[in-house]
Order: sequence, then C-alpha cells, then structure tokens
Amino acid sequence: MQEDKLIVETRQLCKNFGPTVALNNVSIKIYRGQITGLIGENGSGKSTITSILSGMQPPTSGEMFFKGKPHHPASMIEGAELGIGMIVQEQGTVPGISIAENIFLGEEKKFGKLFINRSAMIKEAQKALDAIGFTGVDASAPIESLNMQDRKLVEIAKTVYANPEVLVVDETTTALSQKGREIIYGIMRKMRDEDKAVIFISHDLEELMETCDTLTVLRDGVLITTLSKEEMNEDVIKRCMVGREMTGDYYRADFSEPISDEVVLRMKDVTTAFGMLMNFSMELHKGEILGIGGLSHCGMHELGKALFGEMKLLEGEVLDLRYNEPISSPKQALKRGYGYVSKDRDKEALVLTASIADNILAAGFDKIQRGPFLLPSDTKKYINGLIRDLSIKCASPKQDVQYLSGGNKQKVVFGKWVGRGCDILVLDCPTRGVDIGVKAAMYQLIDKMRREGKSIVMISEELTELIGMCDRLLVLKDGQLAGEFTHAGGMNENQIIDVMI
Amino acid sequence: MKLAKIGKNIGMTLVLPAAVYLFFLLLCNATGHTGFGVGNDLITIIYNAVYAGLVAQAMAINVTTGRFDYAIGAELVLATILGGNLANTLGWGPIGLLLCVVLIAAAIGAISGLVYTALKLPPMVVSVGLAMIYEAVAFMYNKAKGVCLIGNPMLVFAKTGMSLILTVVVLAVLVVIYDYTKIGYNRRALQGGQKIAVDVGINEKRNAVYCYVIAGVMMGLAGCMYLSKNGVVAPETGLGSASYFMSAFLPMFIGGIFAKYSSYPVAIFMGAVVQAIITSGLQKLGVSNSLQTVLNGMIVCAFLIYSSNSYKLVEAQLFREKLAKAKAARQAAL
Repeated sequence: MQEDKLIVETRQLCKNFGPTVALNNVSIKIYRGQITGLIGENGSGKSTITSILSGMQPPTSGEMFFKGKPHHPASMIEGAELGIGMIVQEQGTVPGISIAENIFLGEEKKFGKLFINRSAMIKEAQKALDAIGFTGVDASAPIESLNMQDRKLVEIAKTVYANPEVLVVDETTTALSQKGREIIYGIMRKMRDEDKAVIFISHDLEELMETCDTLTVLRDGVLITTLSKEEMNEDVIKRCMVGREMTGDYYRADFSEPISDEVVLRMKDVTTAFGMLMNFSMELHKGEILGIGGLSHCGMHELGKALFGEMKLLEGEVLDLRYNEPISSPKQALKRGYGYVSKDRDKEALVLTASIADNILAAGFDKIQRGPFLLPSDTKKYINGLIRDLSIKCASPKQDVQYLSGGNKQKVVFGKWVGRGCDILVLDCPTRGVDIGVKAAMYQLIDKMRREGKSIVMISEELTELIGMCDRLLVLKDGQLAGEFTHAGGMNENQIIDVMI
Repeated sequence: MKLAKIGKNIGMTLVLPAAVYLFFLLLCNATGHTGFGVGNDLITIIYNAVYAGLVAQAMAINVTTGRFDYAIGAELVLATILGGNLANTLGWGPIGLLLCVVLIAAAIGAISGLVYTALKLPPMVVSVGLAMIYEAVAFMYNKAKGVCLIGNPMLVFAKTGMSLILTVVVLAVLVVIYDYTKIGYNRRALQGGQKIAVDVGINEKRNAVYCYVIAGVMMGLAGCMYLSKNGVVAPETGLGSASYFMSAFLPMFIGGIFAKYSSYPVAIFMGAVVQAIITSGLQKLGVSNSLQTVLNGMIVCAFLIYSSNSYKLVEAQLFREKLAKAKAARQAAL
C-alpha cells in the first residue's frame, strides 16, 4: 500500500490496567481506501486500541499519528472533532428525548447559541437518517418508539453525519438486524470508495472475510499478523487467533444417538404478552439439544423467556413433565433446575456494578450453602473453578463485571448456570460476542451436558451454530412455527432459510 | 389533524383541574357549604396554586435528574430574610424586594450547585448539610428575628393580579428554558442517560449549576409571595425549613403524568392548581387540618400508584388485540 495513503499509525503502543497488559507494543498502520478488519479473542486488545485512537482512554506508552501528525486526543469529543468516528457495542442513545435530539446530542449549538431551532434540528436529523438509508422513521418521534436494533441505526446516523475520515465499527453488527447490517456494510464500502478509512471489529469470520481488504489479528495484546484479502483463510485466521491448531470438532460430532422418548418440558398453545410469539407448541426431550431459529423479530427471544417463566403468557402453558407442574415464574424455574442465558446480558443477565464472584454466586447460593452459612473456602472453590473452566480473563474474582470485555461478560453469564448444574438450560444467543476459541469450548461444554442427559434449548441467530449443534431445529416466522428439521431428516441451510423468510 | 392534536392537548392539560373543581363545587353545594371557588376562596386557591407551583418547579428541575435538593426550603428562608431586610432598609419598594430576594436566592442556588459539583457527594447528603448551614445563617442574622414587614406597602406579590402576572411570566420563561434552550436539551439528555450525554460533550456540572440557580430563582419568587401573604418569615432550625417545600410533591407528580400534553412546567402548575382546589374544597367541607394532611397523603399515593401503573391500561388493550390476532390465526389454520 502506498505510504501517502497512510492515515493512522501506532508505534509501540502499550496499555496496562494495573497488572493486566491489554496492549503490548502494538504497531499498526491504517490506510485510506481500505476496510481494515481487527480480530482476536475476547480481551485480545481490539477494542482497547480503537478506544485509545478515538480518545476514550490514553495509552500507557507509545506513539500515535493521525494524518502524519502526533495524535493524542484527550476525549472522544476531541477524537471526533479530529475526524475519528466510533460506533460502539454498548447502547449509545439516551431515552426520554427524541430521535433528532439523540442525533445532535452535544451538538445543539448547531441550531442556535441560546435558543434551539427545533424544526431545523428535526429537518437535519431526517436528512442524516435518509443519508444512511434508514427511511420511514420520523426524526421528531421519541427514541423509545424504535426497537433496540433500530436505535443502533440512529447512533450510526449520528456518527456518519459528522463525516469522519476514519470510522471505527466495534462489534456493532451483532446488535443489528439484517437490514441494519446491510446499511452498515453499505456505509463502510462507501467510505472506502471515498478514500476514507474503516476499522471493522467483529467475531464473525465470514463477515470480516467478505467485507475487509486487510485483516489484522491480535492475541493477548500483541499484534500477530496482518493478512491481505488473498491470504484470508478461515483456518489460518483461527490458528493466528488462538495460537495453535484448532484440533477436534468445532461443533458437535456425534448425532448418531437417538433422542430419548422422555419429554421433560412441554409448551402448549402459548401466546406471550409481549413480542410476536403466538399459538406456539413444542416439546423438549431428555438429553436433547433443541434449536430455535428465525429472523430477529420472529418471537424466539420471547420463547426463551417464556420457558424460564419470565414472560407473561396470555394463553397456554409451559408444563414441566418431570414434576407435572406449570412453570410460571423464574423462582419456580430455578427450583426445578432450569437455567437461562439471556441475549441482553448487560440488562438481564448481569449486575454490572457487582463483582464476577457475586454474579456467579447469585445463581449458585443454594448449591454451596451449609445451612444458613456460606463458607469462604466453598465459595472460593466454586467461583475459581468456573473462572478457570471458562477461561474468564480477569484481574481477580473481585473485579467488577462492567470492566470485562463483551465476551468475558458472556462467559460469566454462562458460568452462572453451568456451575449450578441445571437440568434444563435455555440459552438465548449463548455465543454472542464470544471469540472462536471460547465458542468451541462452549460448544463442547453444551455437548457434554447433553451427554449427561441434560436438556438444552438453544436459541440463535447463527444458522451454522444451530445446524452444528442441535438434534432438532424449530424455525419461527412471525411468532409461529414455520418448520421443523431434524438431523435424521437432514438440515439443509437453504431449506431452513426458505422457511425462515 | 394538527389542530385536533392541539385541541386534545389543551383539553388534557385542563381536564384535571376542571374536573376537581367541578367535583368540589357539586359536593359543597350538595352539602350546603357555600362560597367554594369564588371570592376570597378563589383568591386563596390562586395564591396556594402559584406558591406551590413555584416550589414544585424548584424541586422538579433537580429531582428529575436524580438530585433531591433538601435545601430549597432553607434557601427560601435565608433569601427572604436577607433580601426582605435589605430591600426594606434601602426603601426600594416592591421591585426592589423582588430583585433582592430573587438575586440572593439565585446566588444561594449557585452555591448549592457549586458545592454539589465540587464535593461529588450524593445530592441528598450535600443538600441536608447545606440546609443546616443556610438555616443557621438565617438564624444568626438579625438576632434571629427573621424578617417582619407586616403592613409594608412592598408586599404586593400575594395579590391576585400580581400572582397571575408572575405565573404567566414564570411559565413562559420556564417553557422556553425547558423546550427551546441548550440548558433544557442538556438537562433532558442527562436525565435520560448521564454517561452517554457526558461522553458526547455535555457538561453535566455546568448544567447542574444552572438547574440549582433556576431552582433558587423559583424559591426566591416563592419567598416574595410567602412574605407578601404573611408579612413575616421566621428563621428555622433542625431542618424545619423542609415545611416550605412539602406542598411540592403532588404538583410534581401530576406534572410528570400530564407533561406530554403541554410542557413540564405548565403541567406542574396545573398540578399545583389541582392541589390548591383540593385543599380549599376540604376546608370548605369542614375537614380538620390533620385529616386534610392524611387525605393529601393518600392523594399523593394514589397519583404515584397511577403514574407507576398507567402503562398497564395501554398494555391491557395491546393484550386484547394480540389475543384476537392469535384466535384469528388459529381459525385461519383450521
């Protein structure tokens, strides 16, 4: 690549968080007219490097250059003013104000120094939304009128409106609908064509290989390699990421065992109060992995909540056939050995301001209590065991969950239920935001649980994951059952997609 | 379409005060209690509504962004004592009284805001400490005599005409601040998501100080009204100044419910009108003060229960629609 195209350069960049080394002498070059992918395991330093670049935090040592000049933004605002826009994983819109006000949050001065010209702001916001292809939405409407996926598009409109020269897309696509993904892919390509630079962070190999011109791999805070488009190969990338050959089966290997006839859980004619799910019935067998798939708003996430007793049912019931009693509350579900990994981990699955230990222990008190007491030795053994088994990267069990990377947070959620030894596990997008190495470990763990006779409902937006792991797959469309596939009968991706859409 | 929406909004803004007024009017007439809502009673209603409305505005601007300011009662006491005595000494007349009290109250509000932002302690803790300091200063000043201006011609602000002018001006200014200025925009953004708002460059500390200053101004105006009505403001001790803002809660809650039909300051004022009508109605009916307090508490609870659960009415309708859809889907499948 011609050096005159160089827009961002880091030299020997380091970042330490106490004893934890997040970045270790990383030197990287980002060029105009390219989409540069960043990939690595959770905690490999991908988000750290872009957050330093955008001004979210300073480096511990090292140098940065932006357009040939030394670059050390004091804040994200300064970073944005210099021309670095960033779309982050976390929610970045504010409730209680309109879509237009969110787009121009902190930029109200554009519409008047003292008094704000509201109609001009709404008109300009509408233009910003139209510019990214997010049409059919009223910019004056409250932000709450949009679902979480569409709110992300508002953030994208805000970032793109500022016309950045470098756009950082940090694991945003997992929070977007298919329509949203197409919009963000379009924006990235447009920026590349306009001779601007894009840094794209994702765990989705397929997505990265299709979109990026170069792919930089990080591992444990160290830059491993940068691959050109021609060099991008799934096996090579995986090897670079985990630092060894990926041996054994990625997904489940054995589908030969027949599913038990024993039905442990039955959902009958269920219509949930919220979401799309209606008139839905299903059965879960002992030792079965039952997949639930469909498009984003098909009702599958509500199904997961309903199975755990967390969703109000307007009609129908969820019946535990082992005890012959309906599951109508999470408390009861817990009592009967259920576990539930929610898709929205930050809001529904974790107490972000509590420690890793407290989060894990929250679901496992009754498993280790001795009478009314919890012995420190028991809790330590329980917590450290799970941290070790799931390879949770943390400074200590006392570290607040909010400071973990996305994937490590998901491991904590998973650990809560795995440690509890649940008999029926409802997993809603369990590997969302989790790197490939941990994904493989989680798949093996899920399969191990199946072999132990545990029953698992696996809800996922990743079709390959469902096909690779499930005995049976139920596909939902508009809240109702649209198709059923079994491994015995063959699970063909094209057939499943046909049913899905 | 737009006219219909405006009509609906005006109707919804006025419906509660009108309904409560009508209820008490009918009840008083039916029970033989005459004079409700007319003459002196109307004057009392207007005074109570404007006073409580001002105090509620002062409280609401901070409470809605997570800052309960326990010191606003003490601000009223201190600013009115200092400002009232100063204006009287200088012989500045009503406008002088208004300026002295309001400017001193704004300065005290600014101090509250600056102390809160500097100490980074929970607002409740800071404001309780400040309330004790303000009360102590008011007590020490003028040998604990407070301010006594009974019969002084400066005291014009409790008169009906003046109260109404004050209301119109205050509401106009507050609506502009809330809905059309950077202060209002930033306040709402901070109310919705403080971290995100701060990350995009909104200065939380500056906005907090502005809010405390506005609250101070409101309490200064309320102080002028109180002094004009009673002629005296005595110093308080032991957090007794809290009694000056106890009338703020119901208007604030009602304002929260009805704000979507107008603007938050207008809705708060309508809440204050409702409270004043209820108080007057109960007095006319001969309800004792202690029972009035109980009833007022119950009304506040009722509004809180309603505001926390009102979404269930909308939900129930959505549930009915979904059930009908599910039934139709079942029949179509047969």
